[in-house]
Amino acid sequence: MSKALISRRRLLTQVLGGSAAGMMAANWGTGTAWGHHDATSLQKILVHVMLLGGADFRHLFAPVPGSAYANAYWRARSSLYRSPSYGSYAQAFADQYKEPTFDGGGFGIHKNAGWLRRQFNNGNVAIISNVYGSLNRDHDHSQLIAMAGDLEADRLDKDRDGWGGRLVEAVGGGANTVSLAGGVPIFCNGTTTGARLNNVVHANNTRDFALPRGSGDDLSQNRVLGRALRSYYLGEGPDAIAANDPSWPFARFFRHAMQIETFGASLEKRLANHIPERPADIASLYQGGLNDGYFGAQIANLYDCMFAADLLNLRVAHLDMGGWDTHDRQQEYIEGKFSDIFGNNAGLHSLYRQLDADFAGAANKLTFVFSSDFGRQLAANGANGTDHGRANFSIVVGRQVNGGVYGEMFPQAELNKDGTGITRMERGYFDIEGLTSLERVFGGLCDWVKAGTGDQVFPNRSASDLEFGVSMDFI
Amino acid sequence: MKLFLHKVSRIAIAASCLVCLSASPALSAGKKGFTAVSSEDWNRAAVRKVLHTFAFGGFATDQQIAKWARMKPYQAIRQMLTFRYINRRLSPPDPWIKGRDSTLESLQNFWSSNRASNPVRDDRAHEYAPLSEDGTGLRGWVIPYAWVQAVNTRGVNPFLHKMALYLSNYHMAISMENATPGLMRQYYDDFIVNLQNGDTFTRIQAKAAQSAAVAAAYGHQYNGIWNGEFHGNDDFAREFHQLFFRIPGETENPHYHENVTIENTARLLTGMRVDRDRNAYGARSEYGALVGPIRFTDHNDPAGNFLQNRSTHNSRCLQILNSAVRKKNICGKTAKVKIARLAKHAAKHPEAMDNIPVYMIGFFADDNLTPEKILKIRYEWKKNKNKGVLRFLRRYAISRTFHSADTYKFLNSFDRNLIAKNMNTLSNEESFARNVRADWRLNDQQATIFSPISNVFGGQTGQQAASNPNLFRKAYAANVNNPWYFNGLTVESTAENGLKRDWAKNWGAIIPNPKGKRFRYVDDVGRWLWQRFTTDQSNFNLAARAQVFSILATGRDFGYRAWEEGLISDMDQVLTKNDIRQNADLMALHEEHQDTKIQIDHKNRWERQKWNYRIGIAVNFITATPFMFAMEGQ
Repeated sequence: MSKALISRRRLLTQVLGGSAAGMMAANWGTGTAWGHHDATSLQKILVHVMLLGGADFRHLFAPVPGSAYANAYWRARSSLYRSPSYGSYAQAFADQYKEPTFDGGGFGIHKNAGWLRRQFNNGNVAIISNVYGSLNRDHDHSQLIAMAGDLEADRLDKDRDGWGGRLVEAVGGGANTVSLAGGVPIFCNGTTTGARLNNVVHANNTRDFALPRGSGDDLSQNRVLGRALRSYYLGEGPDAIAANDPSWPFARFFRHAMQIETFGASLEKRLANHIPERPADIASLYQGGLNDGYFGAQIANLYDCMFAADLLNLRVAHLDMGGWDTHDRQQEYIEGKFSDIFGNNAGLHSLYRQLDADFAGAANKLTFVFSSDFGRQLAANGANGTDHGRANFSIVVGRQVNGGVYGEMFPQAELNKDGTGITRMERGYFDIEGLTSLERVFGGLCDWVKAGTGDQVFPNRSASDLEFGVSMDFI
Repeated sequence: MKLFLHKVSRIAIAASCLVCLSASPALSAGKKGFTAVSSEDWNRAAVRKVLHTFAFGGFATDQQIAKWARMKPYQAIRQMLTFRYINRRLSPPDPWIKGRDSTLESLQNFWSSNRASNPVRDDRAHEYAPLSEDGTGLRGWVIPYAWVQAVNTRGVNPFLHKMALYLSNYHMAISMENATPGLMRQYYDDFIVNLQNGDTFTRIQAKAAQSAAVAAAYGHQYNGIWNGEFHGNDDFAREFHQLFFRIPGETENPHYHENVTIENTARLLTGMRVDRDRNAYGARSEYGALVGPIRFTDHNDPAGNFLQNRSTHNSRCLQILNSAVRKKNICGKTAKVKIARLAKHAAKHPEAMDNIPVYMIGFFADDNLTPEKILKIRYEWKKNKNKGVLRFLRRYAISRTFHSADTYKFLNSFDRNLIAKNMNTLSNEESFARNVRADWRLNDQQATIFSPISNVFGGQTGQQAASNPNLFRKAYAANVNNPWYFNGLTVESTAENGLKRDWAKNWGAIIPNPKGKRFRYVDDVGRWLWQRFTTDQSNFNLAARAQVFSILATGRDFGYRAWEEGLISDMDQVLTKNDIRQNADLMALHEEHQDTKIQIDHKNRWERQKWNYRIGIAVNFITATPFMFAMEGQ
């Protein structure tokens, strides 16, 4: 690990943290042409990416050939690699993976994640090993635990707060979580029953955001309805919310309309002034450039939101991507996803490159964390896939990250043999042993967003599990 | 099963506040089931609430609703909620639907046919045709379209189809992408047939688990025992318990649940290869399509493949759900036999008994399930020894648990859009003449039939819809930007469209005119419309009335009218109810609108159309208010 690099980053973090002590509006100027924005006063923004289904990051990071561990790894998982088929692990590794140069290497990063590997080499990626949230292998409950940031979350309690929502409350000053996904998950929810979305903006489509006023002349049906509904929602909403119990189910629809009205027009105006059209590299992400255009659209919306971060009071963003439940034909499904997120000229690479070009310094304010339901079992199943497991790697990416591998990336305990002489790695049903609670990882990220918030958002953090000898100074 | 959960994040369970599955001792002491609502509280609003909740609003006439409201609740509910193909009171059939079984296969075949009795316009019949133009396969995209039309057709039982929606797209959800169009349709139609036949819930679950559609969707059709060794995955093995029977395994030792129950269930689900047929569904194709039901034997399928469903099945007895509560080995020579036995075993599991009815009520009726309500629901399910789902839902639908002030339900996009569409569609003639594509609007609002947004965890829930500001905006924008969706006035018969006669909207045919006058008042029509769409008069306050009455009286919104009359300077000004109440001129204007006469039965066609047009705008307004996004108890 390059200490000099880390020191420089730490220094940068401290400087930026100091300057961002008060809420300051970014220097937007008036009617500026793009490419001239100043990110000095932009706040730090945590971007939470939920990979739905249980991502097998053991497919993203693999051991270098030649060790006993690598041999067992190949025996346990060779059936995942079907296209092409390989005669040996050395052959498979050479074709599928590339060893990074930073932090001593010792493992391979899948070649479809070329940008991620370069970022790792630059010290911008922390890979935290053996992180667990849920221990039950149930998608629904595990996602709930990950989104809520609560290992004790009741599996059926869907009307509750999430750790993103708690974080913006702890940050204060009207900070918001912005969901760029198709919905607003529990991750974004605040702690107030009946008003959990008070600090949430749903920017699923930044280019079509405001309440429609209707087109045509003043007496067209569209205009009549546009005026009637706007007057009704905005006129009646405050009274109705105030007059009714917090649990009144209709309040949230008035709130939706009022919130969209609050942000809609100003957001559209800001974008119209600063980025009337999305850059081609950004637009291509949802126009066929990625396998998953839905993810590409979220990145494009995040790009837009960076130019309106002050309006939105954006401190936490949420994205998601589905399709990670790879029970069969894992290679076919998962490698395209690595490429979409981490590949050269793909999702994150395009975002960083475009922000660097159009909004100098803005990308430096972003830190991404990748989360999932759970990890998967160590050995491949009989269907060229992997079944549900528990612990996993956490991946944190950003220019303020202290890059490197945290924890034992490929635990030797997985080579322990049972009574029949078969290693844990090769025996079906075993998974990665959880040694570090997700509270440790997420809490650290909260502290990065605003010092001292980690313990507010995760009150049990200090008592939660932490792998022996590992320090959570990844950021 | 891969979870392609890219449309929304997955917070899939229907109920929002089911925090109390472990009953406290204090609560469990008072075990009592549902109490029927009193006769005083069983009124027309209560009847409408049942229809909106369980049957997409239904098509009962106002007279029928009044009749049900006068009956004893337990008598009325037996007429309102049935699983028969046809329920004449709930959805009065047109002559052509008589005797039809209302499976999607049957409806598609009829609506795409050349039969003289087919009500579908000639230029639209192809949209129901099951096969591709070259005849090589079953078309997937037309199946959702047929479903939406079925739910909007008088003569088809909308309660039966809502239950089948729950089973196929929520409780035991699979998607067409994974199951193939033919198997998905069959999966759905089997629910229709099994419900009509009165199967118990357990038997319905077992048949679904034995189905070719589920085996194809989850991929366990490829699971098998070869050379004594299991090959396959444990995907459906887990979801058989967690989703189909709602047994997360919390009462078992976790190690045992993972390594014995789940893994042995995976071994049970062997020998389930699905036949392929080159002439499936009337198509002709080189490779054939998957067809059900699974034949649990070693045999050649119609495409000539040799399937070893008997010899690759794990024939040994398997220990499953061996909790402290129940111990049983599951034996049988085929997966079919074992699934049937496991289903009976699982249905009695305490976790299943606790969770199945709560999820069901969470889906249909209540996003505010309190511990007290959950206890009552569980008590009723346990008491219901044969697990007859119809009896259970009927008892719930007339209970105080449902008709209660602390019950509310956020409507998912299926419910909201289909209730609105059904309430706005006055006849089958209108439904087929207008041919409005509700499926497009549904898809845009994440209500994707046969492709649930949360995949095996089901379609969009009310909670998900309510927590999604962008979805709210889409629904709002749909009414503002495309009011013709509700407000179509005429369709002329032409040689091209093949419509048998001209159609014109005629609200006058159903809006009450008790005194038989030549006109109706805006006040009465507005209140009637509000109740028709939102079930009751509550929340129709001055702010809402000002807009609805203004639209009905003038075709213009209240802001425009106030500006037009010189009472405000900006027609876009937001007017609160206090603004109106405290300004005598605004109040007078509102009262003028309220007292306007509507001559919807006018002998002049254009005059009639004018009033129908204004009602259409009012419908757009009403269906975009918060009271179409949720429903509350009385």
